[in-house]
Amino acid sequence: MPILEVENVKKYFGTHKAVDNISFNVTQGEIFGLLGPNGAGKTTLIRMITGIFYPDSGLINFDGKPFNAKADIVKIGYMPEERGLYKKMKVGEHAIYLAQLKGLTLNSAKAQVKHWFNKFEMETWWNKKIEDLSKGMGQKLQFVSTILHQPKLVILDEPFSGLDPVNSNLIKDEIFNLAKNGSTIIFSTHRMEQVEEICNQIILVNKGEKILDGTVQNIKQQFKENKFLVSCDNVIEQHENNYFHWLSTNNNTAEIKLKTNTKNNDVLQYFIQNNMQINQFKEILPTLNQIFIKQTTGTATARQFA
Amino acid sequence: MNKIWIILKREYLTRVRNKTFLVSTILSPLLLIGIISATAYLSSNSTEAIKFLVIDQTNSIAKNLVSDVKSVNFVTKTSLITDTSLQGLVAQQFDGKLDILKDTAGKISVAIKSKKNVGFINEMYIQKEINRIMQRQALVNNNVDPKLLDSITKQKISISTQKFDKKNNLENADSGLASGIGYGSGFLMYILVLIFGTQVMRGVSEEKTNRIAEVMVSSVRPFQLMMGKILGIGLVGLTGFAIWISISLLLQTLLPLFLNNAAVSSAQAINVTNNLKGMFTAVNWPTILGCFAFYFFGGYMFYASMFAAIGSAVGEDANEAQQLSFPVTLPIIAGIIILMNALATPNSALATWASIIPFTSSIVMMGRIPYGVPSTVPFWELGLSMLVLIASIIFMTWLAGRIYRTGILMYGKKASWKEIFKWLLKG
Repeated sequence: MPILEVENVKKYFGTHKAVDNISFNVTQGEIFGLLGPNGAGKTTLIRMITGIFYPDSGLINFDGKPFNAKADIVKIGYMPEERGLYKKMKVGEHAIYLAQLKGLTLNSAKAQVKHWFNKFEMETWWNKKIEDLSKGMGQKLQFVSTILHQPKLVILDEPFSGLDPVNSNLIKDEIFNLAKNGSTIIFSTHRMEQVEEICNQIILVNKGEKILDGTVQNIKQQFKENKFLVSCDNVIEQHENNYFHWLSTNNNTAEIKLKTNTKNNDVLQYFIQNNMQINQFKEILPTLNQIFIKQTTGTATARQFA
Repeated sequence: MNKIWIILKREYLTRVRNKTFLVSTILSPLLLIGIISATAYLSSNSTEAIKFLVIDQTNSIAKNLVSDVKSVNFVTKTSLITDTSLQGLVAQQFDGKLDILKDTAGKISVAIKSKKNVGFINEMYIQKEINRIMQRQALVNNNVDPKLLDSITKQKISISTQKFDKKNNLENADSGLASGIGYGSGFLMYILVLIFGTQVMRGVSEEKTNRIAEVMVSSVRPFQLMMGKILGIGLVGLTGFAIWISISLLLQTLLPLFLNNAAVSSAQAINVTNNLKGMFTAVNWPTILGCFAFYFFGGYMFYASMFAAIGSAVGEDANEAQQLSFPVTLPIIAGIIILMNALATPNSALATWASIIPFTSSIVMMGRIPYGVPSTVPFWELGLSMLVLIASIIFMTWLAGRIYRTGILMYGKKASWKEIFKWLLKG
């Protein structure tokens, strides 16, 4: 069941089309990637989902009902990309304050903050002033503040920027954990390697429009260019043939691009016939990074998927 | 509502718990009194008297001139002083000379030549002295005894003023005291509204520039965030006000004890306490203080929401804030100008209207209230002024909220008035 349904949502600022007719669904328990270059409209889209902006037109359904900012805001945890903290407050106080604003009572806020501080090894920070925290420490505090009211939907905008690998992994593990326990996560970024690692489903947004939608695997299949990697025990000899082009060779390995209507077995047959001992034959799928760059820079081709 | 309360509590506690709050609340009235007495002391002591050589053609005025130790020192020319050129005078430690001239028709005039500017007050003093002497001479010439004149001018009548209301109840009216209190409370109002208003503006623009705003508005409505901040800071102001009142009440009860115990002559002590008692009975303090609290909070709320809107529209640059807040501070300054008028004529049309219009009402009304409610300010005027203020606060916060919710999330360059107007109009 989709926890979030976005239908034909539009938001214009004057003549600038920040979000233009975007639709997508997010299924409960999924880790959903919202991708796009800077200025694509990701933040505006998220602001509409979190009730900060109202869409000019279109529908947003949350948990099966039309989104109601007042009631649903407490079921959402949002960590914006532009995030700050009150510098003069103490760490513990700050976390409790944000938790209270998410509707927790003082006592349950205290209990939750303690629980999460324990889990993230932050207990000793309790009486520290925020201005004394490092950037990474502040980020951990922000992450904890985002999730400690156990929101149904967690929206993370560039959650790993500025974190060291240890803390990145800590937060990554927690994201998987949250998803396993039924929370849905929308993960907005332009760092593609993280998306491949974390997300099941993604959409790609550019210039306010959705240009891609699907699972990571499907999208990769959709953009494959019939490239294969072949490696043999003996040195590969290049011969012109009817099945494929040679892209590059390096002694025992070669990258090839299949011609249209060529079957994989045709290729294998070619190698067998030429007495080359195949030990590896693998399809090269494009990385999300390659797809992303191709889709967002080559706008002419990008449009045809809109 | 609950969320406004949580925000309010944070805004209030972080400020009140801060040591600087306590220190500045207690110290600022002391500092103010200190500055006022210091300037009074300095202005009465700092100036050096100007020394004049008086050359008198009439031979009757110079000998009667009385020097003022602090400002003007007259030295009549004697035969010992021969060099009366300007250079010569300077060499003899004079600052200038005063020629009293008499023309052929007997008309007397005075010419002052000095190396530095004599100053308006000194000039007035010299003129007054010479006029006094000439008047006395005229009286003597007409056979009037100068002693009689002295006894006449020393006579001073005292005026007691009382006001009566519709039921012909008389109450004491001390215009001097009333205008003093009116001036004090009106001016204090002006300072407080500006101080706390700018605090709201700074707080908002801080929240915006350190990017906590976006985190906040994902949990609360922007309007709640704004109201929580405005109310929290306003309560800080009221807390300071309460502390001042408690201190002065404490002083009022403690001062007579100190005065009695100290080695002051008892007659003096009784005199002082009587004066103090007079001040506390001649004026309706509960009304004044109650109105002050109301108008402080009201005037503050009215302006604070505008300051919040401006804070949301500017970025990190403090100059931008100053530029944008200028149109907001203008009516506050107008209030202080009208206050002067209201103190002189508390029932003029200008004073009456300015104390009803919300832009100036908190300052001007405080200038009128000490003159008496309902004798000078009828109940209906007070009630109307309060109602208009409350209604305007609601309208203003609504208006400011519309600017605020867009401004707080806009980064980059500062907004122009045109853009702010657009934010106001859109959905």
